[in-house]
Amino acid sequence: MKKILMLTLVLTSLLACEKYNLNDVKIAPWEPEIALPIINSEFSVQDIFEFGDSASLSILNSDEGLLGVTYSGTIFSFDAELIAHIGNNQMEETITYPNPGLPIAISDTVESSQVFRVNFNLQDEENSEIHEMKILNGFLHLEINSGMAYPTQIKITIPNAIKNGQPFDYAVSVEPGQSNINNFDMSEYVYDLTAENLGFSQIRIEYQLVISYDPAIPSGNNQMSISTNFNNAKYEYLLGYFGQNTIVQDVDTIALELFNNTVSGHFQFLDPFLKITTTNSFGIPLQATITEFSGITLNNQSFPITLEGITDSPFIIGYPNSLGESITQTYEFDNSNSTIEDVLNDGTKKIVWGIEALTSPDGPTPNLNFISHNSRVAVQTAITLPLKGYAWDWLFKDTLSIDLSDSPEELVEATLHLVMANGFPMVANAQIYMTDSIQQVTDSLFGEPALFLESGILNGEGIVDQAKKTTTDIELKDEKLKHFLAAKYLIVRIGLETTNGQQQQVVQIYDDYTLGLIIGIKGKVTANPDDL
Amino acid sequence: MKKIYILFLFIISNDLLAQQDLTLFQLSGIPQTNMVSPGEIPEAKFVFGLPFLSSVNVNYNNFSFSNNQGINIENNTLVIDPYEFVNQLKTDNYIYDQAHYQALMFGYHFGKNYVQLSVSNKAFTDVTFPKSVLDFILQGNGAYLGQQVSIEGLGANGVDYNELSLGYARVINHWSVGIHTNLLFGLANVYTRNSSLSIYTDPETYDVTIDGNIEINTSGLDNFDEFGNFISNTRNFGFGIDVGATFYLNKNWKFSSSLLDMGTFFWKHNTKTYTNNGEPFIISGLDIKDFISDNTNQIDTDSLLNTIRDSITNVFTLEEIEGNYKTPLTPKWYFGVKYILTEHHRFYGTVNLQFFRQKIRSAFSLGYEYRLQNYLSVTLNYSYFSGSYNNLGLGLQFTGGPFQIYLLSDNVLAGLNFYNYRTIHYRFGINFLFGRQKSPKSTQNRL
Repeated sequence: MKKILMLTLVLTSLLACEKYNLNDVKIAPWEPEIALPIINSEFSVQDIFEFGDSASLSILNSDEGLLGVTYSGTIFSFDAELIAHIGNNQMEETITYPNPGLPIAISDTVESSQVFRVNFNLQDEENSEIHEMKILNGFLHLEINSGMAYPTQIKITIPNAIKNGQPFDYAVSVEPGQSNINNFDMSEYVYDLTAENLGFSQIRIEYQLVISYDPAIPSGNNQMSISTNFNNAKYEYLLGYFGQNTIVQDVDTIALELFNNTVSGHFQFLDPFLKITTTNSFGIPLQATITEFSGITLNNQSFPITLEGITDSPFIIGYPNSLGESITQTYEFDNSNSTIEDVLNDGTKKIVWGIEALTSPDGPTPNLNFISHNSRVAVQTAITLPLKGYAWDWLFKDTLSIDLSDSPEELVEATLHLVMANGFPMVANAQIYMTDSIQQVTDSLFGEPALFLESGILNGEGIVDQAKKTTTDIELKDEKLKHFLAAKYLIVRIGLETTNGQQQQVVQIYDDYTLGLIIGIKGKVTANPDDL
Repeated sequence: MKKIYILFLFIISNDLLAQQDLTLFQLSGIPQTNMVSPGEIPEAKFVFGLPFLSSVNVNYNNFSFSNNQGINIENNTLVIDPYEFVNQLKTDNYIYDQAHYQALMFGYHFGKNYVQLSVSNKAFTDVTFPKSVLDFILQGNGAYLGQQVSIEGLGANGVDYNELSLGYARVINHWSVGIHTNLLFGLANVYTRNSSLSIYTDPETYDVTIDGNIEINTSGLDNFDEFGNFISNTRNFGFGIDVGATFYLNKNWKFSSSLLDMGTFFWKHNTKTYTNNGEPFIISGLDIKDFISDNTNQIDTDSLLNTIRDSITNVFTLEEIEGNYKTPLTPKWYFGVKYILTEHHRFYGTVNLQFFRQKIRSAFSLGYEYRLQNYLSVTLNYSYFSGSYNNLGLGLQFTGGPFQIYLLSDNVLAGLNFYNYRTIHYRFGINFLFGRQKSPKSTQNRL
């Protein structure tokens, strides 16, 4: 359109070129008022919580659609490796062949046997009694160094390591002064660590040397060194008694991100509840002790949370009777058996906890315990805040980085046009400060905090049945416009109150509530045809 | 050269549609009168136009504003005040320019017959614009929140073409009738076939919706690079017919009428059509959720601003289609009456109507002509056209031997002070006439 205007005006002047040439035609700048849409969004409750935190939102009451925010996390866990692992168990054997002093060459045989105790790196190794081990994967590393003067055939047998009904058996010939190194896949071998009444955690290895004696060859030290160890072997399961092992969980936290950026406020969440779930696939009795379970408030005060039967004494985590099974137990707490509501309504922004666990607190049990390679203990907690209650003077503060340096220089003045369609039972006012790069405040959008969000219209049951639109026009001109365009950060302070929150009117948030946000800008710009 | 030519095209062309030539229609003694009145037969046996100079015409018509409207001179610079300029516009406005030159013209008069052949180049542009469009540009959409702003009627039509015209006229009793059959070869064209648009800015969301249809046909706009190929392009064929008749009631009264430019262009070469296919252009707010970083929960303002910028830029993108199209010529109708008081003194009146897109543009003129045998004609007239009553026309032809020169204008004062006038119209040319009749009176005596 501007080009057509230009063309038209130029054409009307062209024929006057006798007096005025093209370069001498100018169109004076003008200042049209341009209105442009910027944002048009609608936020569901899910959207709001998706952006505000990592919590999950769920419908607590499917009939009504009442929503709750659940903060969940694993507050304690350990797996099998933390209790027992095979590691590198080194077993050394040296077999000496005495020179028979015979004048003729013969084939001579020497036999030997050794018993090793496997170290499972248990805290209470001394009292542990491991009966059986099945290897999941890993290798038996054999290194043979011959000090023999004669060729020797070596046979190594582990009679109590059985796979497919056959014991482990290995034979190899070693030339004089030579070495032999081999790794043997031990997957699926089942070791009976108590066989032959040798005790517990024992492995017996048999060695047989067949020596080709030759009197023509001078004898040396005639020793055969054999080194055996498990190389990165993992067990599939262990059976036995594993002693008493203590597992300590350092203090950790769950942030209640609903209160992120909250500065202060009065809150009353009605009927919050907490669920603790234990899961155990170790075949070992476990006793857990909560060493700390507290809420940390907005002003960093700590308030212990009491959960009956959990925080006041050690509690037993049940265990399965068979390999592959898992036992899950759930403990639920609300206002009747805990102080969770009191603590949360003190403005708790995070929960801290610490836990210790002890295996076999009463010593060996009549039945053998077990550990599977994938055994795991987990204690999970889920704190649910039903979005039901009231709040007032809930003050948020957030700092947003902003860069409007690319804004058109032609902008003379502007009005930010903000339309909120509030389908929530809450009101909000805001003040926005502009700052420079070192966050020094240069200006503010409003003289006083402005009401930009009016409460949705509630029906007789306290449910919002109609969104309320609030239009706010923010004028930016002169120095304020300059400050806005030059701002590097915006400090946003929002005061929130549920509908009649100060009068303790209980409101609830339902899954069909929405918040509409429209932002447009209307401003005068300098249109200069020289720039067209 | 290319730029000069394009400029020339626009300057000269700004409307064949409004080619009044009121003075030419009534000026006696020059063969070019036959251009607007095919029934007119020159007063010579053989006429020959000086190549490229037999008829050179520039015509500027502004139905909208005077050239001093909102235009001021500051330090030898024309400064246009857009506010003053737009405020004085009419509701509907149009401007057109035209240029025309005859490259070749000759005619032969035998018995009661006359044949004429001419080769011409003609160009015009026509720009129509409602005041509301410029007012909208001036005020901005922010001043029209919640209002439907119509920009219907915005358009441009520009054509440059070569014309090969074969004319025939014959005297039949008191009548002299004639016809031109014109072969047209389009060189370049811009034609706004449809521009029924409206703009609405939602007062709440500021969403801008440009609704309606726009279709712009173009041809030959990429051909300027090779000027030789451009000017000799014959692939955009067209045809046109002009008819006219002159009736001599008696020795004192002469009536003339003509209907010109009935025909069509068929644009086939290098054609492009730009259209929105009826799809509305919409600029709407963005969903801010798309600009919030999952990691930081911060708004990506750079991306947001760039997307807004892109959405504004892209919204005006039209689909480009290649395909043939046709455009009509703009028919014109002349009616003139001349009262021949004496051999030297004549009085006349002329009416001109042009038919363009279901609209009629009218002009009329009253004039006096002094004729000194066939050596000299001088005419002076007063006309209304281009919405202006402020037009004094002048025509002059001088013939010495076979040499003839003429100069005429429908608004001669504009040349003295273009700044105050809405129209400029000049035509001049040089002809050679052989076998001329002794006196214009003898033409009447033929009857």
